[in-house]
Amino acid sequence: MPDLTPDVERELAALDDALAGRRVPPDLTELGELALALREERPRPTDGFGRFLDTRVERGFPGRDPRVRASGRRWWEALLTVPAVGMAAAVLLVAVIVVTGPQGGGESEGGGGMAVQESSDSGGASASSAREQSRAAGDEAAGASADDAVSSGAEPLSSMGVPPAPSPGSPRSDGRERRSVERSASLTLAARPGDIDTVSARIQDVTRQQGGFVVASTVSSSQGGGGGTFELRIPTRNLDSAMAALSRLGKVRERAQRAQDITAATVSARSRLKDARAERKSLLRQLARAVTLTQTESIRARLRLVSREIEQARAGVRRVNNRAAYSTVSVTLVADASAAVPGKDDDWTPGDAAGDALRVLEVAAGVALIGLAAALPLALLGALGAIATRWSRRRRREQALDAV
Amino acid sequence: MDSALRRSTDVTSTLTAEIPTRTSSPALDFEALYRAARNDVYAYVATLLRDRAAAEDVTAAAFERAYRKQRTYKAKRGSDRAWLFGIARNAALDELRRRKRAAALVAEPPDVDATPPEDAAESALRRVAVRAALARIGPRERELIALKFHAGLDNAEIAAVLGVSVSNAGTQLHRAMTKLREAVEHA
Repeated sequence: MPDLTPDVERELAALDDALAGRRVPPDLTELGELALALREERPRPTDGFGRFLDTRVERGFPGRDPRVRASGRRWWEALLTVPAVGMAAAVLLVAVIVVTGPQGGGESEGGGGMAVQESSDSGGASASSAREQSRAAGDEAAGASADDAVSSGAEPLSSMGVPPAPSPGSPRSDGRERRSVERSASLTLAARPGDIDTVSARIQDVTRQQGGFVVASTVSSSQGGGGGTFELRIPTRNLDSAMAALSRLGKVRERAQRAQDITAATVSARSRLKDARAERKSLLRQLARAVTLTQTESIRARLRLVSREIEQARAGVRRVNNRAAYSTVSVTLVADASAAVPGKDDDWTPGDAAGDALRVLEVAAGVALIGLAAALPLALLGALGAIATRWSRRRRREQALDAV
Repeated sequence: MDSALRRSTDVTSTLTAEIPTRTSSPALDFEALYRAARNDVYAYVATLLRDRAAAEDVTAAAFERAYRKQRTYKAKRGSDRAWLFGIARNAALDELRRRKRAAALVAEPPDVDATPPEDAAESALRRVAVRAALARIGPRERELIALKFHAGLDNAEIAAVLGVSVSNAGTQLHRAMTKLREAVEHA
């Protein structure tokens, strides 16, 4: 707005002079008289209203004034204003995004928190995707009952394995609803030189507790170092818990997990067994119908061959079942003077306490950062909503003047 | 020692002035504000609404709101009168909006008893003309007239109530006066 012109300033000053009882320039006398006339037209409250209001002020406005009509809307009416509804919708949208957003990025890791480093299809058609690996690793519970059946020597594999993966696989196994997955893992642990023997013993304890066994182990201990390697077979259903338990035995230097689809091999082994059985059944029927000694001897000779094939096929089925039911875990134990052994209370040092404190601070800072990241947009939206509501209310009030 | 800094000589008297102490936002004296502004608020609201009964309701509501919100008053944002008239203005505009929703505004009939019969004829005619002109101009101009001549606010307080600059308030007031003068001439 530009500054007032001299004429406007002069007339405004004349108005103030007239109201203050001062002299007004002769050419503005009429304006001054108008100002005084306007002041004389000033409405005055009745004595009754004056006394009523004085009383209420003296008493500090007790209760609601029965004379005053409800000037404000009810709280729920205020909530239904357009800016408020928009604000609530925006907050709801952000909350939904915040709650559902991060889940999409969590599929790259296995269910036990272990990184799946590689995976391949036995059919050789292509490498499986990280999503498939994650599913294979995370569906341990679904395969538990099947693992039980396999370990007890039962042949059917239909209930063992994981749901089909979206990636392409072997043409022979693509159509199968349940898939067999062979899993393996490797773990490198560091322990203090003096704790090598203790940790080695604990590795074997954990293996037994998880229902597995030690295939091979090599442990060497010396005054300044030492180490060991362990090849373990752990029931696949216990692989995640076993890895977690083993990781607690020392400082984890490296940890990897691998999943391989062996559905095609399983199908092939079962087919061979089925075919051999069918052939034996056929030979038995032929043997029953044989009339000459030559025919009988020839059929018996073939039956012996088929029986060996059946045994081999059964062994093949057991092998693939075993590959799916048990996971191979390779543990490498190395000596490290700076490595602490978690879980041993007597080894908890001030250094450990400082490390734990630092970790707690890191977690707290992370939580605070996430909270801030979520709260900042909400606060911004809230501020914008408040500004919009204030602006809208002011605009509606001003429009009341235009509409009269 | 700097030679320019010398002790004063021939000093016969000293003038002392009180240094204003910095206080944090003086508390609002509601009672004093009420006593000083009661009739002014009523006059402003009655002129704006052109309904004395509604003006009483709105005036009472405005003072009650001000009483309950007196802790929110910040002296650095403006005078207490401007703050009070801001509250009264919002209450009056809310009332206007409510009327707009309910029904068309029916102007209050002129108060014929307000003009004493013994007044001079010229003065009476002048008053009638001013009253008619006030009814003819728009509500925005009437509000400015009410704030200036009925509530007794200066231009800075009017600017604070309307949320505009002082020069803008002056321009609006001058425009309102121009329209009023035209309306008086045609009355």
